[in-house]
Amino acid sequence: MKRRIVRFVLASVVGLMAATAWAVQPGNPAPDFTAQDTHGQTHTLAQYKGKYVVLEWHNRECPYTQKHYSSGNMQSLQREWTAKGVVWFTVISSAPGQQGYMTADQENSFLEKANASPTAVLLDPAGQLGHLYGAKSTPHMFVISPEGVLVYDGAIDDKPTTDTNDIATAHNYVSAALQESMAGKPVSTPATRPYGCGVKYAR
Amino acid sequence: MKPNHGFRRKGALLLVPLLSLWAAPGKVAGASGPHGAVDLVSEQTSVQPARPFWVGLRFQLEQGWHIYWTNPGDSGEPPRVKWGLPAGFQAGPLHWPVPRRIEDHSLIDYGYQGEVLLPAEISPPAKLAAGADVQLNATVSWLVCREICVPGRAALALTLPTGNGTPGPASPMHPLFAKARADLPRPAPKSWKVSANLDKYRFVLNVDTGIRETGATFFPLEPNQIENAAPQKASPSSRGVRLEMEKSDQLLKAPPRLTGVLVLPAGQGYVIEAPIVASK
Repeated sequence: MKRRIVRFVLASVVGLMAATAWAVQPGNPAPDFTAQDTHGQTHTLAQYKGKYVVLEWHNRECPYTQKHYSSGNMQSLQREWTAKGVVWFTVISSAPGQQGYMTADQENSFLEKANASPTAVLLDPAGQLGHLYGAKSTPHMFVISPEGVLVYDGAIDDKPTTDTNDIATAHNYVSAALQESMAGKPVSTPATRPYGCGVKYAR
Repeated sequence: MKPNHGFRRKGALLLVPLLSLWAAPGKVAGASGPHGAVDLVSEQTSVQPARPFWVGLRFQLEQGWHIYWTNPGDSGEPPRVKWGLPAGFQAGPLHWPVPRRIEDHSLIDYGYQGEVLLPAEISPPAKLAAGADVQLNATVSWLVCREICVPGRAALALTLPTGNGTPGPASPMHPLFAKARADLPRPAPKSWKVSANLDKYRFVLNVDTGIRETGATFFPLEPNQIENAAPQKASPSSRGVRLEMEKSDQLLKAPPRLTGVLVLPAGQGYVIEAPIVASK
């Protein structure tokens, strides 16, 4: 337990140092983090070096999140890309008492009902991971290359609405970033304004 | 903004607003949406051939709830309108009164609370059947937030009689339009000199208005340029004001200019375009 605390503190310090040394932006190394998932397992970004990693900021009660879940869009993206070896983390940074806050049990139950299949859901009620990455809205998507470089930061797609009808004609920035990176090409749209509800950090 | 804790939230989980329509004098139809009401109002009481006139979306929001400016800031979505107009009629874009910075869980949004009118100009055709009524339809979608966000959607209709070419008396809505006009940002005076520097961490906006300004706030029209939540540092200069604003992490390369609304302490907003000199 003590070793875990020390590693956590070190990782946080490293994470903070990374954030001040370089801005969190596409082209720069993504800050390392340590976070716990809904099964009590700890994950760090560093342990996934060699794989693509997607971070998906989530609030199940936000109408923009609901757009992508009620339509099945987010779930199908999770399945499509995890099948190709991408590590997909759903992240919940809602503070206790704020909308979207979930206990591990509640979130596991939601995942089953929603038929969602991220690699894991990271619980971030203190908002540390959210603030480290500058997560602003739900959804807010980040794509990290196997070399640990942030290659995409922003909206899930180019239709910033709550209307599920817009999904079919939307250009999905996350899929585009993954496809282009996997093909060895530079990401054509590395940063966009994320759309959604504000992340419900502590007030 | 702290919410009013005494206030009872209505239908916070409703995704589709209860649409209740009412008729007011002048056949204005409005709707109550989530946490407020929206209606389509006209400055004139009749439509004249070939004479443009102003209509507007009037939002009346419950205490503490806000809707968004054209650049909503860190999250949110501005109201949108789809017009359904009779043949020959055209609608101009929505105009945006000066917004406020609204705190939302340590993020910053740009928007409006209380009552706000978003005006738009309607241009009637030269040929209009006299004596016929004109119906203007507006399908409005918006997001209203406080500590949670609720989308709203309403189909509004406004029916106006056609006049004979002489405008009738202004509608009782005229004071509302006069206030909205006063709240709209003006183009910066031609005598102003505006420029900006950009270094690794921040923009420095230099505005020469000709007189010392005690403060200023900048609302960017483009997203991902400044860090919205970072406090802006205004320093008066002998002929204007200097404003330091943290750069957004999502800004990957220097834009050619900063465009937005500069609001001076008295509340008047000016649209400015500041060419940028990048320095490392």
